[in-house]
Amino acid sequence: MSVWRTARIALPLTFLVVAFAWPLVSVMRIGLGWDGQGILQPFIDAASDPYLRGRFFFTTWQAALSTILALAFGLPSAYVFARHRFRGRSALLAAITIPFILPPIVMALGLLSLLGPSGLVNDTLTGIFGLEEPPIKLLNTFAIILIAHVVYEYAIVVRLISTFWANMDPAVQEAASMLGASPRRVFFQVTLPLLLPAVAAAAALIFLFTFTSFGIILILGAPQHATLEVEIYTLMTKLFRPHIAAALALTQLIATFGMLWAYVKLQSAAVTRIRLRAQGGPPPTGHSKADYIMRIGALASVLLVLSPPLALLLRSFITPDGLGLDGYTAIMSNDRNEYFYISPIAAIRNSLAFAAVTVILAVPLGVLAAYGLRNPRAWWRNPLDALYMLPLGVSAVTLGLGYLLSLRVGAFDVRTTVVPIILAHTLIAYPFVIRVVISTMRAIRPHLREAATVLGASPLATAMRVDLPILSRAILVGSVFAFAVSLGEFGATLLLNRPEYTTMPVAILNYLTRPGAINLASALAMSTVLMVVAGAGFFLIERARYRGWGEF
Amino acid sequence: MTNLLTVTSLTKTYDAAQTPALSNVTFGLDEGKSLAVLGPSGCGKSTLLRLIAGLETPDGGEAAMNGESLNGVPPHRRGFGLMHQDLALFPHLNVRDNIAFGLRSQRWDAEGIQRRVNELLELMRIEPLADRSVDAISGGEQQRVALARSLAPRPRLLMLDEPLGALDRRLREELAQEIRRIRDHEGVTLIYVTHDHDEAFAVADDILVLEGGRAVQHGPPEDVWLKPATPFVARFLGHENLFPCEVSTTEDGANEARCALGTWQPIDVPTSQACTALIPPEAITIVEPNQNGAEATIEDVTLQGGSYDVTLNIRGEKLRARVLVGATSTRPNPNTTVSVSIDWNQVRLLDWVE
Repeated sequence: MSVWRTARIALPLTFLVVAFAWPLVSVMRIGLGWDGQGILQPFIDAASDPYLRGRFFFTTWQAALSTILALAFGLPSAYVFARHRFRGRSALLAAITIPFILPPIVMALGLLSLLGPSGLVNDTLTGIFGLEEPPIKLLNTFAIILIAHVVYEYAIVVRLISTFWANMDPAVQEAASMLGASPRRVFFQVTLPLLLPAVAAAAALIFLFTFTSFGIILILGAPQHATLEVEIYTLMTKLFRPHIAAALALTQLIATFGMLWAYVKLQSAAVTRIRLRAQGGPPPTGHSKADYIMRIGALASVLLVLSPPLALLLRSFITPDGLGLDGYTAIMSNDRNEYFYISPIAAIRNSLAFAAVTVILAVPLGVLAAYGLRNPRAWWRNPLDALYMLPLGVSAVTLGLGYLLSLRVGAFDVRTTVVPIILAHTLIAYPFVIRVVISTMRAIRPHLREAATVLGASPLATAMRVDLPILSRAILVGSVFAFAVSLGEFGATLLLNRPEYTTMPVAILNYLTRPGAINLASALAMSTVLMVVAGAGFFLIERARYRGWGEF
Repeated sequence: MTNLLTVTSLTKTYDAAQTPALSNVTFGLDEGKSLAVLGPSGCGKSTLLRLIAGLETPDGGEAAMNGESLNGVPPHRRGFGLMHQDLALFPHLNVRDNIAFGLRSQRWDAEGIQRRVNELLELMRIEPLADRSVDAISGGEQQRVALARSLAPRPRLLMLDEPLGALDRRLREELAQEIRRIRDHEGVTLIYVTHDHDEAFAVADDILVLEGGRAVQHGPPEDVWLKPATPFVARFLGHENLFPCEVSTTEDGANEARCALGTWQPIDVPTSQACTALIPPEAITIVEPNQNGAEATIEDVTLQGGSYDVTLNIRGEKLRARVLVGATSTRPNPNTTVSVSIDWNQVRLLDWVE
């Protein structure tokens, strides 16, 4: 029993030390100049470089703008999903999450298929009007990055805020209007202030994600759109300047931890501040003209965010000679006998193998950690919980950088093996497992266990017949999350990659960086395969999710 | 005198429901008077309030204020007050700002708001709480804040939806008294929704009883208590000794009523021959056996609020009686035989048959 008690805290902590603290400290050591460079010298070097200063301002600016645009685009839909009841509502709500769970690289390829030079929109327009050149030139512009971020983060705005909005007791708004407040005043004086913590939490999360944006920028942006994340990658792989890279990583870390902290604070404020009503009372359904316009607007938004993945699917079957499977046959064979050629089958196999290992490691680790956090009265519970969540605030490229700078003791060096990739995937996946499992675990009220005990169930029987049936779905959801996270992981894998470990996202980038229509077709085909596998996982999550549970 | 509020044939059916939540309800309410809407949960009381408040749109009928129809007037222009069952205090505002909310809607000046809020804080005896968060005060205090908030803008009509629902018994009685005091102080016209007839009688000038969305009785509390209009109302008010009864005229022209427990000459006579006799527990006396009374068996005894609630069996008929604690030397014992006498003058004849 005491072994078990120790293990459920010691094991996750040990993992954190090896897979998180060690690489992070290594980044800090050289980033802060403790390896003989002179204290803070890398920072000073980075800060005195106008180009790098520009990168920092651009990163912040694009994240802020993306956040504002995503909120502006998503809030009306959040309102409709919260306060309207219409046919197909829950199906739509599930559908909007699809872009969010897709790997960023798939979203980037989706936008490429839709709006790129040979994307569907341009193809259609040149076909109809007989144009010489594609009329829409968005590739490598700031606009397409913003579009990608907005489409990607739309789901966060809608799901986070509409859940909160739907659970808000309408009596409070009614009370305001009975006190003579016009609908306008009700919104600005009551609804909005109550909604603000949820809006701010969503904003913090979106800022966090877009601040460390990598795959989207790498594929859709031009060199002048490099974020800190992309810059760290370039500094490490092309310029070999680890000190400056580490200094940038630390700068980024301060910003992301700040946002993560704000998110956690705001999220708990949002929940405790207002008395939530159980969902279930029919939300008022309006029949006015304005209501229909709102609903049509929401539907249009959903179609818009779903169009990139759909375009990808469609575009992957289009060849110069009409419909065909060129891309798919290309990724299934090695016609060109290239030396560096990585069999696409191998990439798919690698991805699935990494994902399977990630599930095997992250799920037991996450469940163990969740059990360690069960006692609500322990003083260390909240600090420990926060500690477990910290990896979410570290960008993938920083993590990869950290592994390259650590994971070596004397002659024992695992940096060129699969170990760092597995550690990275597991580290990024297991906080999701903890969140899913712990929210379900908290929903098992002590009374439930007491009731089972009083009814004569032994502790073992209670665990088997009460805990396990309830937790099993959470564990399944956590597994799918871990699987999906590993499948889509791009930044760390790319930095740590060796040809023989190539995963699907890395293979997609490889195809894209080579010229030729057949390489583009291969990239699209591979992305579609990745999308289908990730989408299947998402379908499982939606199936297994308890109604209303497991919202992030 | 014309009514301040007139409700005519008000009807509402919710989207998914088969039967109407409120059906053809009509009543009037004079200025400064209090009406208690009484009924079990699901009888349509809250729907009635929401329709008058304008939070729901009626399918038929209307509510009118001073003869002017309220149909189409949005809730914030009606000038009514409504206190929700769960209070619905604004969690992001403190006590003072909650109370001031309605005044700000009416664009009172700062000084006026200050004065009115202070006045209400004093009236409700919650001055020390003015700057507290509404989450940081007790349930009873929240109740007072919600009442103060509803009263502040001087509503033409104040509606309270189960205002004492969630409180314990002692606090309920205290607050019911408080509401009466404040109603008289402010002279406000009041609609008070409750499922508790004691609360209704304590507050109201008039009672409206709802059953399944229909108004089944409307009148002063005494009338409702003495002459419940339907079996439902009688049982809802806790009357249990109801016996089918027949009234006839004897050869010498006197009226004679007859039920399973006896025959007597009633004072009031109902319009129909077939009716129901209501025997109040107070009319029943339990005496030592073998005296002049009907023989009865005690079936069950419960101590309730200072008196024994005694279930008697007289020739197969059940009868509830009440015996004050201390009125007899010993506690009435189940399965003992006693004699029961009924004061027939207290027995009421009701105009219906079940």
